[in-house]
Amino acid sequence: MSTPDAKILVVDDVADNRDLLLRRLARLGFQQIDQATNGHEALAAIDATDYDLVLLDIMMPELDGFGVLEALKRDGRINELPILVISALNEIEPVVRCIELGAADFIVKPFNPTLLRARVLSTLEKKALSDLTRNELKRKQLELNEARTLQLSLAPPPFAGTIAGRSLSIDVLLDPAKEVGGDLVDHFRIDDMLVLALGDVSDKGAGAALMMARTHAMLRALTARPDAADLFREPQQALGILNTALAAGNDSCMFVTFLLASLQLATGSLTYVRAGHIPPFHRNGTGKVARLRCMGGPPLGLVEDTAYQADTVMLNPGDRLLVLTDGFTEAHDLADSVYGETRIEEFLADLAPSEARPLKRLVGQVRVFEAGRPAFDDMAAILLSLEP
Amino acid sequence: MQIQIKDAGSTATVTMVGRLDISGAEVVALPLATLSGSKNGLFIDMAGVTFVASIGLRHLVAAAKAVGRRGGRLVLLNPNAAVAEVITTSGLADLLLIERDGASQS
Repeated sequence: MSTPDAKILVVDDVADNRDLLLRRLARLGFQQIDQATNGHEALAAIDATDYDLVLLDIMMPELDGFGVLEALKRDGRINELPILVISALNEIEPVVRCIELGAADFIVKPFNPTLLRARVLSTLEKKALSDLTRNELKRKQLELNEARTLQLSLAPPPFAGTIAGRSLSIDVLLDPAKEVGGDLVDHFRIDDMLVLALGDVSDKGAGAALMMARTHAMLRALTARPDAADLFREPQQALGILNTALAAGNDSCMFVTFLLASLQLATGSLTYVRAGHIPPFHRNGTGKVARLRCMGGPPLGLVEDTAYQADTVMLNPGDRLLVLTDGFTEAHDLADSVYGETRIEEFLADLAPSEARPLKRLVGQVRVFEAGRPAFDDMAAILLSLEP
Repeated sequence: MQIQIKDAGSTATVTMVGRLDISGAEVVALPLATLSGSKNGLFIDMAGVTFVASIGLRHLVAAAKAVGRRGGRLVLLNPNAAVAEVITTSGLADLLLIERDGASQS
């Protein structure tokens, strides 16, 4: 901000003091100067005008300088509006109190023109810098919020109903630890198959989000290919293509653990490939939980031309399949213990058939476990339930 | 995370103690990148690492690949059972070689 543009408010009950300050400031080139004669007038002026600096006397009738500072501190404006306190030479304790209340600096009466100039200009310079930083932060926050909305919209809605004669429900959850994150979750139908996908990028924040969006876009692009049904009937084929594309030129070695599974709706046969991802949890009709541990290969993006291996299990009516990211299992409590996999197995074993959308409850349990610690990692999960 | 580096010319041993989580990964990132660009053998003493997150694995893999590209090798020494299991479950056992030295495990 150049000097003439700065808006300054001079607050003093003594007309001579105000006139002197006004003349000095005018001589420094300031043209937009208002005045107030007590604290109430000052607060009214500050409400009405966006000042860059306030010169504030302490001892005034009606409402003194302390009262003005306390009011500005209460509503947080003290952090955005610098106040230079005007004090007499013998007023050290009041000055200290003003600075504790948030005043930027002080000047003593009688005014030394050189000192006044230095204090005013340096305070304005700091204000301009902090305005710049604040605006930049605000802009970045807006961008991140927009990115978050976009990312969350990549997760499909949950489903409950009948597909190809099979009654089933799919619960879906995506909860980035920061505004955006590196977890991805998806489900879609191809031909006579239901495809489930869950991925976790080995990082957090904006970089991971870009990798996540890229992986997701490539996965969806595969569904548009003429040979899509073949690629997903043998999901190791689809995963191999994704891996080769992600591994090309990936010097930073950012990787994606991935679980891709295709359910044959007619038979209940589930073919899955686990690319370094946490083994999924399979609960049968009797409530027993087993893990799908077959290792299909390394995470996506690390080893070009990997030949991934698939495994097949049968899902029967009443069965459930839970796939989640390590944001659940590696959540930490205050003593640095992890939430672990046993609690997830218990959660799945105890699930009542009637509970709709239980994943939110699982997140709630993890949050209770974390006991207020900031979210450690992104969370994503997908729960497939075949109706009995 | 605290690290100690013992330079032995063409090889180096990096001893890590603590949690290789996000903040731990920040500590090891630069030393690992530097050493993996210049050493033919990089030994990471993992006995004191209590937890490893995927971001930590990423830095280890990046270093292992960098050393491997020049014909050298990166070896993880004596990771505890939980850390070794994370590496195996994550499908990284072929990229991150693990060696155990009975004497130094006590």
